[in-house]
Amino acid sequence: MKKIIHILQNVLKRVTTPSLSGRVRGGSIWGGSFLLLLSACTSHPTDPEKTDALPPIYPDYIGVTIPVGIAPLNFSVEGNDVDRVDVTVTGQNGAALHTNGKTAQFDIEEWHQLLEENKGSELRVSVCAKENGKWKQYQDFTITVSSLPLDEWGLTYRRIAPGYEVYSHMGIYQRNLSNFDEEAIIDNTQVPGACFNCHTANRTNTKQMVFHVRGENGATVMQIDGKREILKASNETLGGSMVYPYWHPSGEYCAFSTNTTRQSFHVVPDERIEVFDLASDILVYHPKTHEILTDSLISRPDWSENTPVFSPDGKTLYFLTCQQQEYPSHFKDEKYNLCKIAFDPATGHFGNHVDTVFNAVSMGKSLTWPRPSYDGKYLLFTLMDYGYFSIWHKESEQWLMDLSTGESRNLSEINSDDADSYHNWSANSHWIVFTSRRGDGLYTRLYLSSIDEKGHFSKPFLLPQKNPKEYYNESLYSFNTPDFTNTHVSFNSHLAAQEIHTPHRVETKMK
Amino acid sequence: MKYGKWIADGIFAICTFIFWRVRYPYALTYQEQFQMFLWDDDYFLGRVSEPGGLARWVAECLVQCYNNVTVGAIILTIIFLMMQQLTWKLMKKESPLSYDSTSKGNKSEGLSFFYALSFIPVFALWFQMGDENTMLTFPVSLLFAMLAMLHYTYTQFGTWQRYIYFIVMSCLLYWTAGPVVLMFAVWTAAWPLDTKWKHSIGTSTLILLIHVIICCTIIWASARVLPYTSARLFRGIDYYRYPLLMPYLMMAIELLCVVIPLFPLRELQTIAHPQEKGKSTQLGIVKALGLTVFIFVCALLIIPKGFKAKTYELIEYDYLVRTQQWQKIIAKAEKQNPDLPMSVCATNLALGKTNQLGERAFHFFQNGGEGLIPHFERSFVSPLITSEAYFHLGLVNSAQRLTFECMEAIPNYNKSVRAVKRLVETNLINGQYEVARKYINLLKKTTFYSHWATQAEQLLCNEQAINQHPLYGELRRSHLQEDFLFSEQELDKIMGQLFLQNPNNHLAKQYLMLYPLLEKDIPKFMQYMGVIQQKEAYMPTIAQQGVAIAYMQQRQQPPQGLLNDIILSQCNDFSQTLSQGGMDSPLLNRFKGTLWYYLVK
Repeated sequence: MKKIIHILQNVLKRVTTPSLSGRVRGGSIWGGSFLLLLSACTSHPTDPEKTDALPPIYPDYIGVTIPVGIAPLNFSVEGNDVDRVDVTVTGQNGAALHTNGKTAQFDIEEWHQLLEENKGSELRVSVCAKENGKWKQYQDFTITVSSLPLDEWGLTYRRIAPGYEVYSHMGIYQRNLSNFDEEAIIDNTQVPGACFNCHTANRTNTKQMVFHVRGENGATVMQIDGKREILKASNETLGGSMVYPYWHPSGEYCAFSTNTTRQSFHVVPDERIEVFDLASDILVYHPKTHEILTDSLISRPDWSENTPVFSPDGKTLYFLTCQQQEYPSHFKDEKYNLCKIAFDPATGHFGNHVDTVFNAVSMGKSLTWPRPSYDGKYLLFTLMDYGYFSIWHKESEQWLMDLSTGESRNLSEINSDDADSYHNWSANSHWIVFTSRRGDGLYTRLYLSSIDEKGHFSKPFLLPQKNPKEYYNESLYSFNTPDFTNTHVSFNSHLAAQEIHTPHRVETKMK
Repeated sequence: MKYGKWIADGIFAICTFIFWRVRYPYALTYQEQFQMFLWDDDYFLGRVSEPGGLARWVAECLVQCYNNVTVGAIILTIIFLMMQQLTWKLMKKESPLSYDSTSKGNKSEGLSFFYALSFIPVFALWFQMGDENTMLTFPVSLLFAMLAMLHYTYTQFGTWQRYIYFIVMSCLLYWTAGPVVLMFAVWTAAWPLDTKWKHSIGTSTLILLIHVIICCTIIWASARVLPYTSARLFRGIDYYRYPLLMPYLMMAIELLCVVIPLFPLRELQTIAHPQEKGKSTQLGIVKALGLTVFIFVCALLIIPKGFKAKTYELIEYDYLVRTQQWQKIIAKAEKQNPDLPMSVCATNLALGKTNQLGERAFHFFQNGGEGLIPHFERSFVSPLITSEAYFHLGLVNSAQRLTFECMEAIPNYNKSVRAVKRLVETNLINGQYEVARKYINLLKKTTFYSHWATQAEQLLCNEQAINQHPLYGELRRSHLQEDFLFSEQELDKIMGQLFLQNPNNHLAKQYLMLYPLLEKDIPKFMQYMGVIQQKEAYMPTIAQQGVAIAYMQQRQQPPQGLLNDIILSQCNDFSQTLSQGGMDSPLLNRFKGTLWYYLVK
C-alpha cells in the first residue's frame, strides 16, 4: 500500500513539474503528507547495541565540509539487512534534526535552518540502524558547516552515457544546489541526433553563455544578455569548429580551441578509450564583430595548442601545448605542458612570446584542464600520464599551483584512485566542483570541496540527491563538465532548438 | 451467421498465433532485446510523465514477455483480436451518417454481412508490423483510442456536458496514448453530440474542424513545455522507433479505425440485399461468407509482403547467434547461402565455434575479411553480430564497445536488456566489478533477467569463480597483455596476438588462418600458417589448399607428407583447367567450394 501511495505521489509530482529530467524531486506538500503517513508506522531504536565503528554510509559524508544553503546530505546505511535508520543531527549551537526511515532523508527547510544556525561550526550526526530486527548505534561523526559562503544558485553539467562514438539521450542540465531540482537547459530530444557539449558561463554568470552542438545541425550557440546567436559550427579558414570555450572576464571575448579529434580504443581490460587530436590550435572570438583573433604563436604547425583560459585580470591567456605525434602508434608520447601568452583586451593583440608555466613533460606527465581561481591566487589543473582527455585516464589527478610562488602540489586530499578531473571554481573562489569516477570506475559523478586560506581542500562530498543510493545506482548517465551558476539559467530551449534546426547560421570571420 | 463470426474469429486468432509463434518468432525476440522494462517506480514515472507514456509503459510491459515467444504470440493474438472486436463494436453503433431513429431492427444480420470489414484495420496493422521499427506502443495506443471512442458512444450527457467530456477525455487520452487522440476528435465530431442537431455536411465539417483544432492545440501546447518537437509529438513519441519518421500507413491505420466504423452500413446493406431486407437467406450467408473469404485471402496474400525476407533473415541469424545455436545457423546457411555481411559473419562464427571453418568456409558465400568481422556501422542492429564475434574471439573490450554502441544507437533512446546483460559479462571478465554490479542491480528489476542477474551477482569480486567459469575464465585467459589501440585494418594481427596469447583459442586460430585467404593474400597466409604451426599442427583442408596454391605460385613442390595427395592432385587439376580454359571456364565449376575457386572468382 505504501508503495502505491508513493508511486501516486510521485506521478503527481512528475506531471506537475515542467521539466523531465528522469528523476524524482523532493520538497512538496505531497512529500509532507506522505511523511505524516509514514510516521504512523515508524520504528524507533530501543536499547540499541553500541559499536565503536563509524556507520557505513553512502555517500561517504563522514567528516565533510559543506556550505550553508546546500541541499540536505541524505544518505543510506550500507548493508542488505538494514531495514531502517534513525538519524539525529545536532548542531553545536543547539538545534537538532531527526529522521527515521529506510534511508536518512531530511526535511529541506529544517536542514537549511540548521545549517544557518551552525555556520562555521560542526554538526554531530548520530546514526542508529536496524539490522535483522536489532538496532545498532554507530559512533557519531561530524559534518563541518563552512563559514565560507558558496554564493551560487546551482550547477550546470552535461548528462550523457559514458559511451564511445555513438550517443543516445543526453543534454545540458542545471541543478539547484539548495534542493534536488534538476532540469534540462537543452536536451537532444529537442534536436534529435545532436550532441551538446562544452557549455560555459562567464565566471558562473549565465548572462554570457556558450555551448557547442555536434551532429547534422552543428553550431556554436552563444547567448549574451538574453540574445541568442547560432554561429556556424566551423570556420572554413580556421578549418575546424570552436570547442573548449572560456570567457574573458570582461565578456568581450571568448577563447576557444579548434581540434581535429579522433578516438581509438584500448584492448586491455583496464583501459577503454583514448581521445587524441591530430591537430589543434587556439583562438579568441570577439562576439560583437564576429571576428576570430589568432596569432602564429598560438597556432604553430607541428604543435597542438589546446583548452585556452584567461587569467582573472584578462591579460593572460593560458593554454596547453604539445608536439604533435604520429597517431595512433605514438599516442602515449602526446604530452602537454601549460603555457601562457599575454593578451591585450583593449586591442585584442597577443604578446610576442610564449612562456611555459608548468613543465609536465619534464616529469613524464601531461597536463590538462587549467582553471585559474577567479581571485587570482591559484591555478587548478589535471596531471596524467599522456594525452589531455583525462576522463578516460584512471591515473589523472588534480594539482594546484600557487600563482604567487609558482609552486604546485598534488591534491591528494581530494584525489582518488580513479579519474579525477574537470574542475571549476565558484565565483568567490572558495569552492570547487570536479568530476570523479571513484564511485564505480565508469560513471562520472560530481564532488564539491572548499579551499581554506592555506590552500588546503576539505574532504569532497558527492552532490546530494534525495535518495543518493537509488539515484546514483540507477542512473546510466555520467555528469560531465560541471560549472557553478549564480542564477537559474534562463534559456528558451524550445526556440533555440527551432533555430538550431534551421540552416541559418551567423558566419564568423578571421581578423 | 452467429457461429460464422465465431468461426471467423477463431480462424483469425489461430492464424495470428501461428504466424508469430511459428513463422516469425524472431520478430518477437528482436523487439524484446531493444528495451529494458524495469519494475521500478522511477521507470514508470519516467514513462507516464510524457504524452503517450502509459500506452508505452503497457506496451513495453507486454513486449518484455516476448522473451517467451509463445507468450509473445498469445499477446499479439489478443491485441489483434481486441482491435478487431473494438472495430466491430464501433461499427455496431449506428453512425450519424446512417442515423435513422425509425429503423431499429435487422441490424445484426446486415452488419454481420459486413463483419469482415471489421478485420480491415487489424490486417493493415498486421502488415505494418512487418516493419520491425513499428513499436507495440502504436497498437496499444490504438486500443486506448478505440476504447475511448466506444466509451463516448455510451455516454448519456447533455450537449455541454458532452463538450466538457470531450475536452477532458481528449487531454486524458492524449497524455496516456499520444496523438491517437486525433482519432477521438474525428469520431466525436462524426458521432452526434446532440441527436437533435441536424447534421448537414457543413455542420459536420465545422464540428470536425473544431474538434481537430482542439486536439491539435493540446498537442501543440504540450510541445511548448515538454522537451520534444511538435513534429515528434504529432507522430507519437514511441509509435515508431525512429523519432523523425512515421510511415504513412500508420496514419492510414488510424484513419481506418475511425472511418470503417463510420461507414453508412445500413445504406450499403440495402444496396447489398435489395430484395432480402430483414430476412436471413442463404444468399445473404453466401455473400457474407464470400466477403469474409475475400478479405482473408487478400490479407493472406498481402501481409507477408510487409515482412521483408532479407530483414527477417538477418533478425533470425542474430537471434541464433545470440542464443549460440551454432548448428541451426549452419543448417540455415546450408538451405540458403547467406549473402549479406551479417549473415556471412554469423555463418563463419558458427563454423568457427564448431571447428568447421577450416573445412567448410568456402562451401558458403564469402565476401572477404569482412565476412569474419564486418566493419563497424553506427547502427543499433548490425554491430550486434560483430560484437558477438569479438566476444567469442576473446576481444572483450571490442565486444563491450560494440555492445555499448548498439545500445546507445537505439533511435528511441531505449536501453537494451540484451546489451546490459552482455555488459555485465564483459565487466565481470574485465574485473570491473562495480560497473557490473550497477548493471546487475538494474537487471534484477526486470522480469526475465532477474534470475540470471542474481546468479551473476555471485561472481562479483569472486576471482576464483570467474577464472573457473567455462566461458568467462577462457575469455580471461585470452586477454591481451600488451596495450595498443584497436584497429579494424589490423584485425589479422590482432587474431595473431590472440592466438599467441592463448593457443587454446581455436576461434582465433581459425580466423587467423582464414583471414588472409579471404583477402586473397597468399604470402601473408603462409606467414600466419608458420605462426600457427609453431604452436599446433593445424592443417585443415582449406589450409592445405592454401599451401598447395602457395607452392604452385612459387613453382615449387611442397615438402613430402605436408599435404594430402588428393589435395595435391586436385590442385594440379585446377591449375590445368585454369590454364587451359581461363577464369571463365565452365569446367572450373567443379571446384566450387574450394579456396582455389574463391581466389579466381
